[in-house]
Amino acid sequence: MIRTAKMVQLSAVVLEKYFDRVTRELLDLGQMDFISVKEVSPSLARSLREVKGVVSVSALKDLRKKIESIMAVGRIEFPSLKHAEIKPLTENGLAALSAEVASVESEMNLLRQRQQNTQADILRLEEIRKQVAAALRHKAPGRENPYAAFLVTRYGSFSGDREDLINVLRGVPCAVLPVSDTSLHEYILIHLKKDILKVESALAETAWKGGEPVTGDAAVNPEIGERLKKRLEEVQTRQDELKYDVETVIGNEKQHIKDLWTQLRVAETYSAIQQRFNKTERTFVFSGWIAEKMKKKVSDGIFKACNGDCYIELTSAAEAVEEEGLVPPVLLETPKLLKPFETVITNFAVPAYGTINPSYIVALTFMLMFGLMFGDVGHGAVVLLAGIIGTITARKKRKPDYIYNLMCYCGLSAVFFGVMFGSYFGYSWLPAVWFNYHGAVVGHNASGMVQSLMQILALSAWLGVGMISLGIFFFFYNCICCKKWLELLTDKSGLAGAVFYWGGVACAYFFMTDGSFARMPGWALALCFGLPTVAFLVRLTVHSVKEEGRFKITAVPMLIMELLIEILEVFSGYLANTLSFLRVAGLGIAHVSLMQAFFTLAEMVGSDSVVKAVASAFLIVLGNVLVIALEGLSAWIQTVRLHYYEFFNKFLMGGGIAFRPISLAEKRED
Amino acid sequence: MGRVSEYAYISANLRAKISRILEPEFLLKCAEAQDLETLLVAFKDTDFSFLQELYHRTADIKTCEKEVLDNEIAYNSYLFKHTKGAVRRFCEALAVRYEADILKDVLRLWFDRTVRHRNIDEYTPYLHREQIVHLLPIDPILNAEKPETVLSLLSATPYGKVLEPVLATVVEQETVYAAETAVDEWVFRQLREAAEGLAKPDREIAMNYVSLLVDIENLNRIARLKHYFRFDSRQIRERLLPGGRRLPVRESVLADGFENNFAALVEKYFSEPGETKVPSDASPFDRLLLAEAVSAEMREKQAQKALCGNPFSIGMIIAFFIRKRLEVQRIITLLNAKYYRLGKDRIKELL
Repeated sequence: MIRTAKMVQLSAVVLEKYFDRVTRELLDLGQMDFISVKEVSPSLARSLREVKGVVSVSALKDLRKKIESIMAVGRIEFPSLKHAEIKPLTENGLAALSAEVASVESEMNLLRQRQQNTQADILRLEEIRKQVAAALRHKAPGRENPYAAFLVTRYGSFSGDREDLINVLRGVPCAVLPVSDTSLHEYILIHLKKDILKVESALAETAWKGGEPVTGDAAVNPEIGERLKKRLEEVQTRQDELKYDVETVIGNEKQHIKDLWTQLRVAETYSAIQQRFNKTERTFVFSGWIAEKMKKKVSDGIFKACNGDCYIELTSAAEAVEEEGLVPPVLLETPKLLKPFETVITNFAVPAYGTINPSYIVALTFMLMFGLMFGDVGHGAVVLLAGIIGTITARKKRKPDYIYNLMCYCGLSAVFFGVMFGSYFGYSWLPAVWFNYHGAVVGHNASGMVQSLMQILALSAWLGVGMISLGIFFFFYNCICCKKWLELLTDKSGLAGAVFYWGGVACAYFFMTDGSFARMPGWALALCFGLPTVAFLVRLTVHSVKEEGRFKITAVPMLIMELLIEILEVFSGYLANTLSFLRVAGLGIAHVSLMQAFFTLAEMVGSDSVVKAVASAFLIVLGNVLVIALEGLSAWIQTVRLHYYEFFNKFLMGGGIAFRPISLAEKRED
Repeated sequence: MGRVSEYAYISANLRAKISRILEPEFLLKCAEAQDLETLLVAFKDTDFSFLQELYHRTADIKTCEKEVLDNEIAYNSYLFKHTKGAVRRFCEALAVRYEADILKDVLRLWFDRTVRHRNIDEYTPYLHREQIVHLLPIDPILNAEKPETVLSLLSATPYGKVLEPVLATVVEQETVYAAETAVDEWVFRQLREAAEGLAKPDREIAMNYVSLLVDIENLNRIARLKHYFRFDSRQIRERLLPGGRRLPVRESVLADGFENNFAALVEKYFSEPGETKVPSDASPFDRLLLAEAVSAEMREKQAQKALCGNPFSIGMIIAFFIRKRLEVQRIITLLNAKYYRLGKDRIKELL
């Protein structure tokens, strides 16, 4: 738990007749991160054949993506695969599924065609409407209107249906509008002057009876503009109905589509497992990583699926690394509740195999830092509420919710520290359990162990020392786990760096309290800074020898130069890292000060009349909102920053490969 | 106003916007989508997620394409709003390029209708009609019968004067090319003047960009003029724009016959290690593809350079223009390619 999970390499040989049963078992267990046999044993791989599943994974994936595009149109959520029946798919099965998808698609395409036609009508009407609008806008008595010059209006009657008339004129940008809401057969026809011949020849073939065409300014009037707008709305409504029809077509098949998707997803994962197998004449061979604690369950599962007719070999990660040069994947066994903090770590880097899993500590330090910067019961409760709402919404939409989970934790922490500081929306409604932050900052009503700004700053500096020291201890632990003895002794985060740092901290403490280093004995000073210097020199020399192949006397000046730079870097690095934690105090003080500023403003406004009282209350609400939004964001950013730059870089050896077993719970690949 | 305060807000905003621009690798991956609807799903969680809903509502790919272009053009007004003085004038000059492209489209459609007597109704609804810098009377132009009417309609804009000497020849010569060239030349003049009006460090960056655009335009002209207009070396040389830095336009350097070996020309003046591979023998279509590829590569490099440079300079604006244009071009290519069911490999080639 404190380290990344121990892994075991499982290799198995099973008889051909158990191929499907083993696949099913492995999929059901969902615990194996497969390795190519080529990686394990290149010589063995040469005598093996690759396995092609009955149906290719890419064909299944293509069809699944097609269904997903239909699901997206129909706003269908992805079904859960928790209780999905594990069933392989044959070529015929895939063909049948494709046919089913094609049938839904063909129904959609018919509607799409109608949508295209309607869209063409909308565009034509829109064009005429814009031109009529422009003509109306530029209409001025006694002046030629270029926007009206190319518009033609005809008034007439048509005994047939309006749709027939529209169909006759299809392809020509024009609008057929009823003269009034009650008229059945009398229409206004608006088109462009350039299409005059086309329109006349089309109308000649119908029973249209109309007067002379009207052009120029006389062709347009606001009534026509209004009728056009109305007509456009009608067509747009028709278009919306068609969109709804498409959704209905999909909606009617909702469960069916979900089932198709489930079948395909299962079949795809099933085939993906089978493609990881290799084949001899009568057996199948496969290999992969599993968590050590699962080895019995997985081995038993395979054994049972083969009725005992199989050969299983389990190799420890250490052996696999040593003998086969494999890199074990990394599984961080963080409890589900603390998973969001694991994401904070993996966003920075996946820890190397066998090193520390800092999730538990990060959960504590993350909440501690945020709480110290944002400690207020009311503000924390708002953040918590926002986190809960976000989590529910994200879960509904099946989107990642870890950021909202973190908000919940941060909100809880802010509430806790709010109680500790006695801060409730900036007010001290209850006495502080630990110390009154507001009192310490503002300088009155201070109570508890911290009563001044300097003490707050000192508190955060000690927090920094604690965090950095913790990082150093983690580095020790990682070095011991990975047997990196040279780094343990001589690295800047190793023992040498630690002695240097703690010596520096002691010096700083004595200087701050006594104004001199007198309490620090000379031998201790020499030990704290001399020993690390020697250790750094040893490391640099070893590296130089490794690079050059032997020790060269000519490299000495360069080594001295490097040593000086290293000492400077370690000194400035540790100093900056520690001082960086003063931002915890800075943010906390800013939080209090901002609230105090709004309280002062509200006081200045006064409350001796209703208006003033309302304005004053408004200022306090506004202050709280701003502080929650701005300070909340700042505290969040600083918490992440302090972890990434000041804490993780002390010990987190990245470069690990995340453990990704093939399972139905696996994140859906896009 | 100091350079930092002049550029701080706009640079920070544009950098954020640039970070949202889709990477070519992502778009290449999108080319794997089986059909248009699957492609649109891939745009979920990007700035183009609206396309899925739009296509679902209209089933019209051209409407989608227009919306993508309209969105790109809308960034211009955003830039106008947040810049002042010479910087704003340069942004306007950059925006004029979009306007000029629209005007050229309008002139082509007008020409098709009046001279070639073709039906243009299919295309007109998709024209961008909102004002960018100058108010273009698009519909009156499309409906005008004579070149004089077009000129009088454009008289309130600088394009009236630009087109005056050439529009009559368009009808006589039965090609709109002269009008297009005149508009392009005016646009490049505007760009150069606007760049020259900038303060010193910006001027150099902007002039670099303008000269790059000139080089790209000249390369395109060479690619087109030989095959589509059958021009000889002298005629092509006369139509090349001055002000480029890579491709010399002088006769002493571009000797007769230079246009015959397009690949060698690209190799000599545009290729650097790692740049587009030049096939030895290029067909007219290949030449255009090659010119496009070189153009994209050079613009991308320019954007990269600008992004690595001083953040409080015109470079950020230029980088944004370049990246956004490239992104939009690729998105439109993808949309059309999927709609017309082009093969995955072919699409990747086009991207």
